[in-house]
Amino acid sequence: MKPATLRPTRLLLALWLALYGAAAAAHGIAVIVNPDSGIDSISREEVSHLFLGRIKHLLPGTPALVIDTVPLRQAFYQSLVRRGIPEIDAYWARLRFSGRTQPPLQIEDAAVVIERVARDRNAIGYISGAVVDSRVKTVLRLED
Amino acid sequence: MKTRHSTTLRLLALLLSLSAGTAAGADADAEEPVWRFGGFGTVGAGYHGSDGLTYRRDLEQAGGHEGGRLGFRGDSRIGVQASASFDARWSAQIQSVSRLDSEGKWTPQLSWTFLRYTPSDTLDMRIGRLGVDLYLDGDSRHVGYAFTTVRPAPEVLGVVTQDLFDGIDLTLRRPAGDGLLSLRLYGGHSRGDLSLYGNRFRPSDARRLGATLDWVSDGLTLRAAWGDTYTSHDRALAPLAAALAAVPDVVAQQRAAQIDASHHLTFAGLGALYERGPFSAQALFSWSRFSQFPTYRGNGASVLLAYRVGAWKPYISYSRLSLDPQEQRDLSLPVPLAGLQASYDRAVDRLTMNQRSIGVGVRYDFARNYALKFQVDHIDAARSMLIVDARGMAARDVGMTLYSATLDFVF
Repeated sequence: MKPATLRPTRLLLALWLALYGAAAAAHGIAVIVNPDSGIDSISREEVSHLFLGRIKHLLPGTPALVIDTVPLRQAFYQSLVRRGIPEIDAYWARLRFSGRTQPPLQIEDAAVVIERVARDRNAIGYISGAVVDSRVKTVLRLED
Repeated sequence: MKTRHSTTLRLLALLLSLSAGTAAGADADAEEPVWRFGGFGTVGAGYHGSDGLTYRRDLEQAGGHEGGRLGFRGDSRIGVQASASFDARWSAQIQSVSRLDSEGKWTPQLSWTFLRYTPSDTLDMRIGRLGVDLYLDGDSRHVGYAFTTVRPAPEVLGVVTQDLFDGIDLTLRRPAGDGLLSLRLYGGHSRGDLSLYGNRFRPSDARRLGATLDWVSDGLTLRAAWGDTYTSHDRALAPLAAALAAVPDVVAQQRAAQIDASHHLTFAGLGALYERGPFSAQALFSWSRFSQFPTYRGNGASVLLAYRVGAWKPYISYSRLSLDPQEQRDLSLPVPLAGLQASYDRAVDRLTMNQRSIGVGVRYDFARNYALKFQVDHIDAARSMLIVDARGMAARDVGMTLYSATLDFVF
């Protein structure tokens, strides 16, 4: 039987995910907003309400742009509400198909999440604490 | 049906065009509408060995799982949805669901089709076709992926018919403790059919009013719901009333006078959903009252316990229903009118139900947005309109074991 092989791209992706996960574990998960949002801190309950679609506004007037960083979803929701991804996906199916609200924007790459948050005053997302830079502001830190 | 749907669609189209115009006028920087498309579905199989009987998941379906054969009609369904955000405040949704209906067909039905105005987190208004929110784990009983079990407890939610209405709702929200408190008020014309005794019933003029109070936190959801449905012009009992009125007997004529073309149904429910880590527990209690002939009092309850282990989520459930008429039965008619007494008894008993079920199953989330479920239910019914014979008549003194397997998905 031919031994299983990993293509270089898959190997690199696996390595990146392992390193990224390890970095997240070491530095926790940072909930980030735009520095011009005027928000200095946010409670765990408020983050939960925003990411579970119970409230839609980060700032008065305009709905928040809520962003999931896909590789960190499991760790984020486990830390925030102690629920796994199947429960979160089922939860969103309830809300989507009764027209309550739409789930967070799904972005794979943390660098893109940082760019979106840096560009939009109404955006809120989460990334590994290890990759936070000055373009965004950390308003809550979760242990994973 | 076509007329009503097209009326609703025309109304929605008009509202959409108005909202688009309003949005453009109010905000010069308004973005282009953002459209989203999606859907949900269930491919469900069921088998039970009770020959000659059909198990229905709700009173709206003309059929279900037939005894002695593997069937796919009871739980299978598909829905598609389009939603649009016009600006920060205005959005709309249109949704259609196809499933076995009260005529035994799969004609798509318009559901959850509305225009929404959300000026802030504390206020939300919708107009169009909306649903009553009685379900703790999903506001639509058709999105199987949102439920833990194969189907919402039929003993509690299978008898709640006409859960859609054409009207308006208003939701107010405010933080309370570490959760969010919301009050929803709604009203409009009820939509939906019933399949009883092999016939389809469509109340021609049913109005619904209701309110729901929710408190939601990360681990706990509490819900209290109340709803009132008024139906007029229901002529289904008119022949019985006329026959009783023609009998020269005081009791028969009194009963004839009680039979009205209008009905009043009151429903109240309490629910709790607790989710913490891998464990979840859900309890629902409901009370219902029909205050015009035939008067009924009833209650239902269901409990569900589940525990997630990786992709697997085993669960157990128990539910029961009791719905009993409150009418005096004996008309003291002379023997030649025994047939009229039998007709009267059938009318009084038309919704009598006493049923309970216990279930065990497992949900397997094998891929994102896909779930397989396997479930075994044992159902005991002294009398139930959810279990019917070939003529659509209520089953009596039945014990059956129902095996179900479903594939639920969203896209």
